[in-house]
Parts: sequence; structure tokens; C-alpha cells
Amino acid sequence: MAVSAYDRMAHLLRRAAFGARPDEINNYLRQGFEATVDQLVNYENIPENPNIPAQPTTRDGGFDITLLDVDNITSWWLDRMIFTRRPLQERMTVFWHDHFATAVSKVNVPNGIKYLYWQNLTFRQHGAGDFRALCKAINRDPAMIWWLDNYLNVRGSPNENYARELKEIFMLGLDAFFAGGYTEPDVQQAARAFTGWGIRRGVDQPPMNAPNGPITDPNLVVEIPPNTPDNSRAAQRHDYGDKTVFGVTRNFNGDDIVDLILDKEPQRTFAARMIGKKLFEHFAYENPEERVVDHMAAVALRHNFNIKLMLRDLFLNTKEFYSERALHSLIKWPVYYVVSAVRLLQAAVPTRGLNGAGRGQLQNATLEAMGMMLLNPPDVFGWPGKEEWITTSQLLARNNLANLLGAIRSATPGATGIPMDTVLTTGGLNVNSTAEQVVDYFTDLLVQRRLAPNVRQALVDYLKKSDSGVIGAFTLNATTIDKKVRGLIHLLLSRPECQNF
Amino acid sequence: MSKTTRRDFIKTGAGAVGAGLMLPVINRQAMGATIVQQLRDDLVADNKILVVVELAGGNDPLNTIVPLQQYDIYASFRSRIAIPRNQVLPLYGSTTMGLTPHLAAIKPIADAGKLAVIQACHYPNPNLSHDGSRSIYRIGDPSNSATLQTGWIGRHSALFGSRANALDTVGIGGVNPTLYAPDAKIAGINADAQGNAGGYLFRTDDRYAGDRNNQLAAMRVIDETQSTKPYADLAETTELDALSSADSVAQATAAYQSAVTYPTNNFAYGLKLIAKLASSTAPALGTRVFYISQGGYDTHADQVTDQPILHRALAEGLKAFYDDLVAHNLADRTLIMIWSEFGRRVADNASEGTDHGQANNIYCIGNRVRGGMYGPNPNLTDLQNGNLKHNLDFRDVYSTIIQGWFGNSAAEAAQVLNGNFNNLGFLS
Repeated sequence: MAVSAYDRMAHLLRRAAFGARPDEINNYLRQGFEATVDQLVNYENIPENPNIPAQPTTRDGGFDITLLDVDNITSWWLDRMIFTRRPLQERMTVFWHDHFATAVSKVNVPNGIKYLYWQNLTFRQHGAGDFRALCKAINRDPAMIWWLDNYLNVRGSPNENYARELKEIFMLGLDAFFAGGYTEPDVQQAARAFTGWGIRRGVDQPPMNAPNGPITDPNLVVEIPPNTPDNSRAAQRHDYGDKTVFGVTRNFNGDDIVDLILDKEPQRTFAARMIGKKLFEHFAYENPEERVVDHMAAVALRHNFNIKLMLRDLFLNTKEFYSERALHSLIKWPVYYVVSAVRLLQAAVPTRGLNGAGRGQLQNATLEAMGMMLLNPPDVFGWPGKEEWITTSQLLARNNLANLLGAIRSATPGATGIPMDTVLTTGGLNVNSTAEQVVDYFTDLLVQRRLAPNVRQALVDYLKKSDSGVIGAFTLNATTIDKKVRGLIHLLLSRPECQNF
Repeated sequence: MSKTTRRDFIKTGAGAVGAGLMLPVINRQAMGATIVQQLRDDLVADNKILVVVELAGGNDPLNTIVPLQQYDIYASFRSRIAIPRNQVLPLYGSTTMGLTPHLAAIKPIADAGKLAVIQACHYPNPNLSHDGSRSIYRIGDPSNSATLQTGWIGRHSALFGSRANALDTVGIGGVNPTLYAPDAKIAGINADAQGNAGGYLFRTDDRYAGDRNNQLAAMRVIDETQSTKPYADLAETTELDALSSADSVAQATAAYQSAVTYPTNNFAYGLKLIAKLASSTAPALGTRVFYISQGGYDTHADQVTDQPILHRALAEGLKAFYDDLVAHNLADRTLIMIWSEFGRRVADNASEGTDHGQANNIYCIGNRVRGGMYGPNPNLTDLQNGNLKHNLDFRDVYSTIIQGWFGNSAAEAAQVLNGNFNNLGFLS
């Protein structure tokens, strides 16, 4: 069955952004797919929403990095996702946060919160850039150095943790291990290349009652061994001897290992398959056919691991991306579920409390209840996601967020919830609209696919039902808008159909 | 390496079980609340409860059960992190193996003969990846074959658990892949700091309380056309289970009373919630299996700081939980099994930690446990790549529990585990 242009555009905007309203989808259709993809992918050309906070807000009402806490970062991040005009940048920031999963559960040491913030900036900077540059940035990322113990990796007694996960998760994947793409000795030898890549001691002491020290440049807190040994601590801790990795013997350092993987066959192809498949599964559908993985790998190799060009190819030239199999085949990640609902409903929900810091109605704990506390993935493998998003308590957390969205009726600027009049006007609904038209519009807005006839009928009946359950007439007016249309939004967002996208 | 995920099964099983998916839906529609309640009451009369505790990250066994008989070898391997000999607690009067002082809180349970230490369990060709090895334990299959894709407990639940009870199996904090099989009934419930299932309810708009039943009715409508999209059926059945179990869970946690004081950490909050759900009689929830994880055991560095903190939280949490079980007359019908995906390197590293290893102990606690040490002591002079070799197959422990706890036959255990394994006899 051919997928209509409208459905394909809606799909693109669900997957490469946070979804779009029907009126927005039609606007993009008029511009065409190529122009739309270019806007999404070349996001740096799009002027950002001036209302987006450039930095997190700390409890002093400004941005004092010594005071920075997890909620400050995640509130700022949620605001960015909700208000951004560069949605793919935000989608990729989440993607890399999951791929290079680093968690505050361990990086909760002095300066750890700041390290996680810096890591987020790194994901943002390289989000759709060069995978090689991103991997090298992660080599010297303080949060990662702490998370995988590389600050303890020293000459004579290497700590394998980072070198192992760099291969197993970040660059090659376990599939490559089982196919002979790397071996246990490769891991041990690569660990020697990363000896001495650590965190400077005693340079960035947090003040009393604050989690972070004053330094604002991550390059000043890490120490990287120079190519030529000198008197630095990093040099003294680095193993300058020859290492044999993938059969090549040289005095490798950490960045050389990244280059080796991306330049030397067969590792280069294994890496292309890993990242190609991961991007495809994130944006299109799971368990792709072998030919699709071949295609994604070929694109990665052709573009030398440039993520932007890989994404552009995926969204423009990979027909499987728009196939029936891809449409609505994924489960919404909690952060996607929340952000897309807020955006589609044009809702104003505070992510922060008084003073600009603290907690608002929408916060990291909201996501945690759904199984996805930002900055705290369960382990280095990231969130297992997929069917593991679907548990009874996590669905109830989604249901209750939907209820909260519908039930906010504050007059406080920034906390007014769903602007019902605006939403109805945007949808072309008015006093003459029927219950069916109301259900169909909000289905097109929030679910974006046809409901089973009996489900649609049940929602129509819901609009018409009195408190005693008797089905009567429905008229769109102030009373029914406040009660029934808000209720309908809660129901549509809560229904199982709305968990896929 | 295939991960045990619910997705994998959904994917591979989609065609094969497509027709069968209709059945539970129809049954649920037909089954009134009273029938479900009756089923639960029948179930709960003498049901056995299994509480599985996963120590995620690879708990170091040699600093858990210390090899006194090879203490000097142990200490020379671990000059940075060895537990001093004079701090090791005697276990079952043994002069060969002793207990870390950081687990002192559970020593009274051991002294009462209710702790079994099943030593040096693992499987051939050990996988040193967290994900690889924990998948093997979760599936119960070290062969990397695609034969088994579901969790071993999930397979048992699908065959021998309740298919009507949404709370047949409960994962605290989420649904661990160990619990998953397509026909198993599993609820994931989060614990809050009171040990309650805080958000486990379907909220509706307070302004229009009279509309709540209309909302619930619309939520309970089932897609008659049977969407073919991945996860559609899972999302639908899970939502219905959530709606049907939310009120029971709220009543159960509200009715709980206990004099036991739990520690204040996430692990203990989860155990407290298990105690509340397990002890509830009005309504009786009939949950057969609970699953809870305690993370942080990947002690590559500074193990001397981190592992004792984790062990104290583990032991103090388990002791409070056990006391709570005793207070609620549940200790005779509750078994606690504690596992971890691999042991750790025998030698410490320069970071005062240990790297990934092989064989590990599995621990069982309960009034019907025959306390003691099972399996030969690990031998520190006969290592494989610097790691402990295994003496027992970890599936022997599973088989023992399936037979000795759930009362299944050896043939049924073999059906669940896809092979015959030994009954180690640590259950009476």
C-alpha cells in the first residue's frame, strides 16, 4: 500500500523532529521533502528561538557553575527540546546521550554534575557532525573519563574499562566481537594506549556547599599525555611503549585507536555497520534487513562517518525509511512522549520552579517515572527501551502526565497549560463542529493515524456522555471544552495507540 | 550475542502467535472482576513467593565470601583490597570460607541456618561482557543459540503462573528481561521513598470527578481491528493490566502495617514495597515472583570504598525485609535468590579495584533453605585467565528452585530450562 505524501511528511517530522501539527505538516509539504530535510539536517542555518535559555539557571537565578545541579541541567534541556527550532539537534543530543551513556549515579563526585553538563554540550556540538571528532571529544570528556575509570588507567596496570566499551559499545559493537572484528588482547592493548588520559588533581576544588569547582573549560581539568614524553603527570602515567592492536604495532595513543578503527579494514566496515544500523533503528525501524544495514554502512563509508550526510541520505534516499514497516513502528521514548505532547498542544508547562531554578510541573522526575531519568541511564549500554518502556507503572506515568497537561489551568505566565482556544482555532474547530470532527482532529494531531472504528466511536461517545454515562448531544462550548475536550486530550495521549510513533 | 529482550520475542514470534493473540483479549473481556478475584484467592492460599535480587555489575565473590583456607594466596593477589583476616566473620563454623564484615547484618540469618551459598557457579566459555553474561543468566542459555529468547522465569511463569492475574510477576522499577515471556503476566512497579507505589494509579481531572468512569470506560476499549504494528498488543494488554491492578496495589500498600524499620535507600524502598504487596490479604494479590536490582557492583576502581557501601545496603535491606517477612508470617513461603552476572578478576588492579571475571556465587535466603556451603570451594591456584573456574552450572540453581520451591517435576524444570540440570538440594 502506497504511503501518502502527507503521511510520509508527518512520519519524517515525527522521526527527525518532535512531530508536527497538521497545519505545519501541510506547510512543509508545500516546501517539499528536500527543502524540509535540509532545514532539519542543516539546523545550524535556522535561527534559534530567542526565548530558549542559553544556559541552565542555577539557584541564584543566574548561571553559577559551582551551584549547577542535575535538575538545573535537565530543566534547561527540556526547555530546549520544547522550544527549539532545531529539533534534530535535540534529537541527536538524546541519541548520543544514550549511545555514550554516562550516569550521575556514578558521576556524582565533586565536579561530576558540571562534567555531565559539558558532555551534553559536546553532544550538542557534534550532534550531526563527524563521528570521528565526536569519539575523540569523548576520549577527553571528563564525565566519561570518570564514568569508565580511565582516570585510573596507568602505565603498568591498565584499567580496561573505557577501552573495552569504546569497542564493545561506542565504535564497533558486540556483533563485531563475535565476528572476529576485535579480540580480548585488542582490548587490553588499546587500554595501554589510553593510559594517562585522566583528570587533573587539585585544580578545581568546589567551594563549601556547592557541587562544582569554578573552572568553566573542560580542557583545563583533563590531562592528556603529550606525544613526546615530558615531566607532566599524564606523561608519567602514559605507556609510551608499542602496542599491538588489530595486528598493527605502534606507539598508539587514545586518539590513534579511534583513527585505527575508522581507517583500518575490517574494523572500518564493522564500525560503519554498527553506527549505520544504530541510526537506522533509532529513526526508522528495528531489526532491519541485511541489505538495509549494508546500505547504511555503505553510506557511512562513502561519507567518512559524517553523521549529517548519513541522516540526509536516510531521510531522502533510503526508501525503507518511508515504508509501511517504518510508520508507527517504534515506541516513543519517554522524553519524546513528553516533549512532543507539549509541542503539539502548544502548551506552557514550567520545567523550573520559582527563581528560575528548582523543579517545575514538568521535570526529570516526570521522566524518571516513565523509566528515563535524563543524565542517569541505567548503565553504559544506555536505556534498553523498546518494549521495556512498556510496563504497567511506566504507562501509568504517561497517563498521569497526560492528565496533568490537560488539567493545568493557571494564569501564571509560562504555566498556563494548553491554550485551548488557540488549539481549537488552529484545528479549525468551532461551535458548529461535531463530536466526530473533534475526535478526528485531535487524533490527527496527537496520534497521527486512524483509530480502530470502535475506539473512535468510544471517544465520540465519551464526548457525549453525561456523568451518569448516558449518551446525549455534544456541542463545543466553554463547558465542554474545559471538561470534555481536555478529557479527550488526556485519553488520546494515554491510549495505547499513542505510545507508538 | 542476542540480548534477552521482550522485543526479540515479539519480533520472532509475531507470525507464529498472531492468531493466538486474540484469545487473552477475549478472555479478559469475558472475565468479570469477581472471577479474577476468585482466581487470585485460590492462588494465594499457599502460594510460594520467589524474590530475585540482581546485583548488577558483577559482585566480587572473593570479597563477599573470603577464602580463608587460601588466605595467604588471596592476600597476595589482592594486596590493595584484601579484607583483613581478623575481620572476616565465621560462616557455618567453617575454617575454609568466611563472610565479609560488611554483610554482618545478615549473619544472624546465616547463623540460623537460612542462608545457602552456592559457590563458583557459571558456564563454559565465559563471556566477560556485562551485557553478554547477564543475558546468559537471564535467558538461562550460555550457548548463544537462538533457541531460547525469553527469560527463564518468564518461561516458568508462562507455563505455571497465572495468566489472569496482572500482578502474577512484579518487577520493582521495571520489567527485567529475566521475567519476560509472551504469555507471562508481569507488572513493573516503581517504589517511592515510603516504599509505596506512589504514581501507580490512573489519575483523572479533579475538577470533574463525575467524568472519571467515562474516562476509564474509554481507556478500556480494545482495538477490535488488532493493529499489526510492533508493540501494539503489548501496549494494549499492559495498559489494561495497569488499570486493573492499580486499585489493588493502592489498597495493598495502604493496608500495610509493620514495626520493621527499613534503611533509607532505593534498594530498601523496593524491598519494603515487595513486603507490602506480598503481605496484603485484602486484597490478596497472588504475586508469585518479585524482581529487584541493586546496581553499582562494577568495581573497577576503589572497590574498598564502594563494595562495602553496597554490601551494607544489601545486608541491612535484606535483614529488614526478612524480619518483615517473619512478622507477616511470610518467611516460610518466601525464597530470596541473589545473583550477579559474573565474578571478578582474582588479582586486584592498580585502581584498587577488580576487572571482569568468571565464576560467581549465588545466594539463597529463606526459612526453607538448608543453610550451608554448596559446591567445592573455589581454588585460587587453578585459575583460567586469572579468573575463578566454575564448579557448578548456574542452571543447577534454577532447576533446584523450580523443583524444590515451585514444586515442579524434573521434567518440567527441564522444559523450562531446555535441558536437564541437577537439583542441588538446598531447599527443604
